Amino acid sequence: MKRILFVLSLALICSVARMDAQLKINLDNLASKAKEVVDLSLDSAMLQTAGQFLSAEKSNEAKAKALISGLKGVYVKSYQFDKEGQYTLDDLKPIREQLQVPGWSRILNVVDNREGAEIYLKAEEGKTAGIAILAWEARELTIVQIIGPINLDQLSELGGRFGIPPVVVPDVKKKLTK
Amino acid sequence: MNLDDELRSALKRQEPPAGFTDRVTARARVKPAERRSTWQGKLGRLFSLRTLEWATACAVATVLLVGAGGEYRRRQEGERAKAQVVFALRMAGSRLSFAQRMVLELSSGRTAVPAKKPSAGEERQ
Amino acid sequence: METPEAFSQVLREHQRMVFSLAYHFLHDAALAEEVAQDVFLELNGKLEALESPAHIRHWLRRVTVHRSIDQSRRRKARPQVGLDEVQEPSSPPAVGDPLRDGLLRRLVAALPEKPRMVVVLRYQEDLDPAEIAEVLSMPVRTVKSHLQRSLDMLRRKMERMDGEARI
Repeated sequence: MKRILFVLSLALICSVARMDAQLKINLDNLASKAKEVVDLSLDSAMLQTAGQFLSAEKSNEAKAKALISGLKGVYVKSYQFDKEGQYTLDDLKPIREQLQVPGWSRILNVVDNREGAEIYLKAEEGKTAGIAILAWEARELTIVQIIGPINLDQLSELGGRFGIPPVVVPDVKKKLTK
Repeated sequence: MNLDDELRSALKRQEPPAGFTDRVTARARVKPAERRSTWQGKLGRLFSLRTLEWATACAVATVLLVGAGGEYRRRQEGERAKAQVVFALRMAGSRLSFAQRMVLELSSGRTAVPAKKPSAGEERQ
Repeated sequence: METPEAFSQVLREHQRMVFSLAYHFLHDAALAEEVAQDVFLELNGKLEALESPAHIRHWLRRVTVHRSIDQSRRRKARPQVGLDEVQEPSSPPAVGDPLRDGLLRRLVAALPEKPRMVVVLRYQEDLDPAEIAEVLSMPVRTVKSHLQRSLDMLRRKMERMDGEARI
């Protein structure tokens, strides 16, 4: 009986840990006001399937294939609005609260007028275990979360591939190597 | 090489991303009211899904090739997964690029010197 | 010109020009593709009214330029960086290095809006100042002024970085 309870507890802890790994984002109020919504949830099964169809022969696909090979999830929520003032930064508060727990650290915070971006890294046992990006403009709000061993260098290597603009993140690179 | 030549080299025309022609042609066939504002619509602008043609081809192929039906579905799901993953990576890369641009522009010292106003006779920006 | 084949032909012939104008101006391939797609979709509805290949090319160039500027304004609510405030990358590549093209593109992308488009039209499309003025609905002397100031700034920055590279 004790053994059964122990196994059940372990399963519960594991499932809670898995649930905690993905940010809870409830912005349905914004979705109803948005002219365009992107809502992508790609779990490890989907990423594995995609990886099988990314060619190892083509350099751009090979890089993406390598990038996603160890990932557990990629989640994107993006809202585009017809006019300004459809959201406030308070809408991001519940998401930020989830990123202010131990394990997450904010490595970039830039704000200018009605635009801004924050980048968070999750670390486990000294290694990167995830990235969260919050980016907002006057008429657009985007949250990206990538779960798994990824760093910004890998993402920046995709610069110029698949139409992703080249990214150079000198200050962040310095921080990552500390 | 002088600056003029360097600029010509740097700014020479480039090919659009692979599949651009297909994506435009596919959108051109759809009436404006039918262009959905969902991730599928946005994905359709960015990738060559050709949903209607695929759906028709799939239906015919499935009827004719009973044994291969499972493999066809698997391939369809795989291509769709691949398109979604690449799209998601594009969004992430695009937002990183956006953050980087903000850092570069703000750290250039713009706040110390206001932007120049257009002089009389120049077109207003 | 009414057939889908005619549209496809125009698309194939001009897609590099349209995409590149948007890309060199916006320095964002995803945005550039959105602009380029929208331009061609708009063309599709107007193809019958355009009289000649030259007219089509001129129309595409003009619409791409204005849509790119609109897209840039939608994304940037903050004031423009002044010409002298363009930040230089930390490590200049050697002359002849392919990265040098990328460096120049970044410097061009950091120019204010109108000078940037003048430079792109001059060096990508090889337009003279009168042609640029017509596309941008701008006085010729303003085009020349933008061009001169932009080139002076770009030259100074590249020379400074070349000097640092030699040390």
